[in-house]
This record gives sequence, structure tokens and C-alpha cells, in this order.
Amino acid sequence: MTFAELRREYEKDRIGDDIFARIQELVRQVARKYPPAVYSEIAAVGGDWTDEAFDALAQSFITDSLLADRQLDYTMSQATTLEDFDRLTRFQLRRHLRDIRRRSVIDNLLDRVRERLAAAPYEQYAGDRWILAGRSIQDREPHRDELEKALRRASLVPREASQAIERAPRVYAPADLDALMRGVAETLDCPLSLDHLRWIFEQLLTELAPSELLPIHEDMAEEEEGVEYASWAETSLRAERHAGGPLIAEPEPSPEEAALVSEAVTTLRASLSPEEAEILRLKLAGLPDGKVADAVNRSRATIVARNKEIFARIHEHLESLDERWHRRAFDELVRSLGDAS
Amino acid sequence: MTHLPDWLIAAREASEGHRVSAPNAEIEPTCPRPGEMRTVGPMDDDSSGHARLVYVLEVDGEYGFATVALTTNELDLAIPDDVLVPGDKSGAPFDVLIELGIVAPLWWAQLGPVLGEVALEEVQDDPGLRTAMALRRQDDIRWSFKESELHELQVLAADCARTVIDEPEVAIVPEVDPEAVASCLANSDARIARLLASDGSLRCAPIRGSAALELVQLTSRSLGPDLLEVVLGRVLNESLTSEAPATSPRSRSAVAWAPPRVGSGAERIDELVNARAERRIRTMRLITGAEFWASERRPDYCAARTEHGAVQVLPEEL
Repeated sequence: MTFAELRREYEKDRIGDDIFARIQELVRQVARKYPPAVYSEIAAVGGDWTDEAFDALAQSFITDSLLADRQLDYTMSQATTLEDFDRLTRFQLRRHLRDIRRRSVIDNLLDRVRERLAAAPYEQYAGDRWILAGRSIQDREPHRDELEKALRRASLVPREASQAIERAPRVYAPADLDALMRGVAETLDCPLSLDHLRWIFEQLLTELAPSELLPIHEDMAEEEEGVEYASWAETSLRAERHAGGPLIAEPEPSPEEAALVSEAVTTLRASLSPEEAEILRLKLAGLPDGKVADAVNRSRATIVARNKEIFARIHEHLESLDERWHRRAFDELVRSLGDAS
Repeated sequence: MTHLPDWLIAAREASEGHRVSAPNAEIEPTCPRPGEMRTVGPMDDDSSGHARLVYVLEVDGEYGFATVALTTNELDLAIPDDVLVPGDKSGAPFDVLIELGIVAPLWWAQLGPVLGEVALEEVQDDPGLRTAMALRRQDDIRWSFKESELHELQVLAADCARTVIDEPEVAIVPEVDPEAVASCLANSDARIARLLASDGSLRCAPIRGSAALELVQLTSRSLGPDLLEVVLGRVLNESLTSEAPATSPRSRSAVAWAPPRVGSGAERIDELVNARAERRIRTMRLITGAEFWASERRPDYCAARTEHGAVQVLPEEL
């Protein structure tokens, strides 16, 4: 297909057979670098993308981003070659993936906010609006400068470092979320609603989202071979989510299988030098390559190369295990890295 | 026979609207206006720069450049300098951010189709369109995003910025179209006297190269003595005594004009444009006749593509 043909199809149908096929292929190329537990809107099977998950992502990308938000027009306003089209579409897809994750984060925060608003020190004012009990307020919507003041106050509340492979990091510890809500309620001289808090979270996450919602994955250059996402990332997600419980019920291995898993992990762990173990530990804590490089006094390029070596070694040691036990193996590896640090 | 799923056909129907023009689509070569959102591309097809969408802030008619701010669809990466422009305000099919901190000059000939238009004050003063958090830390990804945005615009603007800053004198002195001079000589056309300003100074650079020698031979004795003074004494003879020898070899390789010139393929004008392109001065004011343009209306600018790169030509009436 030439670019002239692609352009003609766009002029005629916007998305026809050829453009659809091309977008589907790009979705597969890009998405497989990202853990499906975090970015797929349907459950991943065995820690990997499935055809159904790719199709669902292609559908939401095309309907929400390319057509409803007119981002295909944005691409076509600037593309003059097939390479341009692919480059811009990849870029659009990465934004779409980031949006999926951010929506999850804000929805989770609002769920937690809703629980808190149902209890003291808050009381329902009227409809879906709340006030701090006993506080004298005016019955009106907040002024813009009041909301901005509340936003500034909320921006001072410390946030937790997000876990790179967690679908919806909680962002605020319970006490900090309490402090944020109280600060907002005290700043407004009127009742607050979930819409006001959503707006504040959206502003805060505008600053937060790009740097914290796509951290580890953006380090993986998509054109590079051999850095493909594997089940290790999703497994480590579960290891880091003890409080939240597993995303999918996990099977239990027999004693013999459990011994095989432990042996594979022990061998793998022994193959890692202290520096490699530290790099892996930091990567799993969600640090971008630049920060890992600073922490171990190496260049970023060295860390990128080491990541590839480490991931290849993990794959090498775990591939002999039944796929069902990969997650368990990774849990053990994460624990052993934590014990050593 | 199409193999599209039903959901795609339904989504396509729900989002029908006009298609956007390609960045390199042919457009009417008219002077840009502040407030326009236009695509821009590199001057030369083999450049490493990518086409982008920009917002025109100011227009300079003397050198033929527009001061533009880059725009982006990365709405999440806004900083307080940026202004959100919803599509329903600009007429563009999508929302963009105008990045008022990422600004550079671009030649008019780099500008492509208009995608939308909105007055800056209409959006700049609306606090609802400027809500971004301050950019405080270098590890905020918006920092590196802005750096890469600046780099992209610098690649597109490099030629224009270099010429405007380093060679403003050369860029601003008009050249005279040797074909127009030849036509005046052949027809004893008194318009040639317009090459002199009222104080007797020359309005254009002397004709150089072998074109000057050719024109000397064409000089008609039927011209009055005053006009002969203009043609021989100033426009042509000055070139014979200039630092660049009149007979030095110059490229006359063919130039592609857009919009086309009448009688393109004329070697003397090609020599002039090639000389500019070789020196990487990508703009030229050209005193010429209306009869040299195929269109009814003289274009505000045109692009002349040579083997050494493109030159933007700003025609002026002889």
C-alpha cells in the first residue's frame, strides 16, 4: 500500500479496509510492550495479550480517539508518508493507553472519596453535595478562584510513588486523602461535590499522569527487539498488591511443582550479580531508567542494556516452568530481592 | 467487498465530517494572517523535519515570514503558557494547545492549508482554557516534552531564522527579474525606469552573472538616454564591476515554480534563483512583471524549487 492509496481511502471512507488493517497491526506492535493487566480493558489470560484483548483495544482506540476525538484527522493533517502515518498513530495509541490508566486512577480515588463523604466529619448538604459538619457555608456553586485555591492546597498533599505495573495506583495514603479532602472542604465556602473533586484530581493528574502513569513502559523503545513485555511484569504486579488481593485467582501447585518453582527462582537469583539484583529491584519499584542509573552510578544507556540482559535471563530461567507457575516464581523472586535489599 | 466490523461502520457514520487537507496540498499563495492555524513543513522534501500544526502570531511582509507558535494535541501536557483551543472555537476538527512558549519564524512558503482560525485574545483571556499546573521540576515529563517540541520547531525554522538573523541585508534587497528587463528592452518599455527610486538610487540589486552580459547585448538604442542610463549605467554595468565577475559560471539548472510562471524554463531567472539557493538564502524579493504569472492575480509568494533546495520568491510589481 502506498501513502497515496491510504490518503485516497481516508478521503473516501475515513477508515476503510486498508487503514483498519494497518491500525490493527500497529495496535499489536505497540500494545505488546505494555502489560495487559494495566492497560487492557478486558482480562488478560496467562499474563499476556490475547487476540480479544488486542481487538478490544483497537476498538476503543479507533472509536474513542481516532474517530470521536478526531485524532485520525490530526494525523492526516500532518502525514505525508506511510512512515509519518505509523509514527503519528503509535503516538496517538500511547496517549490512549495513558488515558485508560488515568481514568482508572481517578475512578478509584473517587470511590474512596465517596466512602469518606458518607461518614464524619462530613454531612450531606443537599443532593450529591457535602459539607464539613458544623461549618457555615453559602448555598451556591464554588467560584473559579475558590476551586483554584483548593487545587493549590490539594497539590501540597504528598503523593505516593506509583507502582509502574499497577493498573490504578492509589496515589494518596488514607491519611493524606483525608487531609486533601478536608483542605478542599475548608477552602470552599460552599458545599463540595464529587464533580469538584474530580476536577481537582484531573488537574493534579495532568501534572502527575505523564510522568507517573507510563513510567517503566515508556523506557522500552518500541522499535527495539527483545524487550517485549512478558508475564514477569504482571506477576510482579500481584506481588506488589498484597493489600489489594490478586487480580485473578491463582491455582496452587503440587509440592513437586512448588519445589521446581523454588529451584528455578534460586538459580535465577544466584545468576544475578548484586548490581543486577539492585537494578531489577529498582525497576520493579517503578523507577524510570534515568533514576535507576543515578541510584547505581551508571549511565542510562547502560541501564537500558542491563534491563535487556536481565529480562532475557528471567525468560531463560522461567521458560522451562509451566506457564501457570510463572507468577508464583515471580512472587518468590520479588520477595528474595526485597529480602536482600 | 469490505471486511469492516459493524462497530467501526457505526462509529464512522457517527463521526462524519469534512476531511482535512494534506499538509502538502496545493493552496492559494496568499499572505498568511495572524490567528490562522496552519500545517507547516520543511522547505525541502528531503529535510528531517516533520510537518506540524502551528498558530500564526505575526506576519512580516518584508522578508515574507510568519512568527508562529507550535501547537500540539497533547492536551495533558499543558503548562501555564499554553492555551487550549477547542475545535468549536477555531473551526478545526480537533482541540489543540497553542504552545506560546515555543515560537519561531517560518517562511510563508512553508505554510500549508488553514485548518482553523481564532483570535488569540479570544482564547488567551479565558481562564477556563488556561488551567495547567506550573512546571516546576525538570523530572516532570512536560519538561522534556517541551524540549522536544522546541527542537522540532527549531528544525523547521532553522533556515528562516538563520537568514533573518544572519543575512537580513542580502535577504531584503530586491532582485530584478532578468526576463522582465529583457522584455522591456525588446519592447522599449518605459517601465524599466521604475528600477530607479525618486532619489536616483537603484531599487534592486544589480543583475549579475552571464545574464548581465546577455542583456547588455540586447540593449536597444531606441531607448531614450535616461533609460539607457538606468539599464546600462546602473542595472547592468554595476554588475560588471562588482566583486562577483559577470562571466563566472552559474547554475542554470531548471527551477520548478509553484504557482507556475509563464515561460518558465527561462534560463536567466533560473540562474538568479539557483544562485540564492546555493547560498542557502531561502527568500528573495523579485521585481517582475504581472505578465509572468499564469494566474490572473499576482501571487503573494511562490516557491521556486531548485536542485540546491527551495527558495521563497516574493514578487513585486515592476
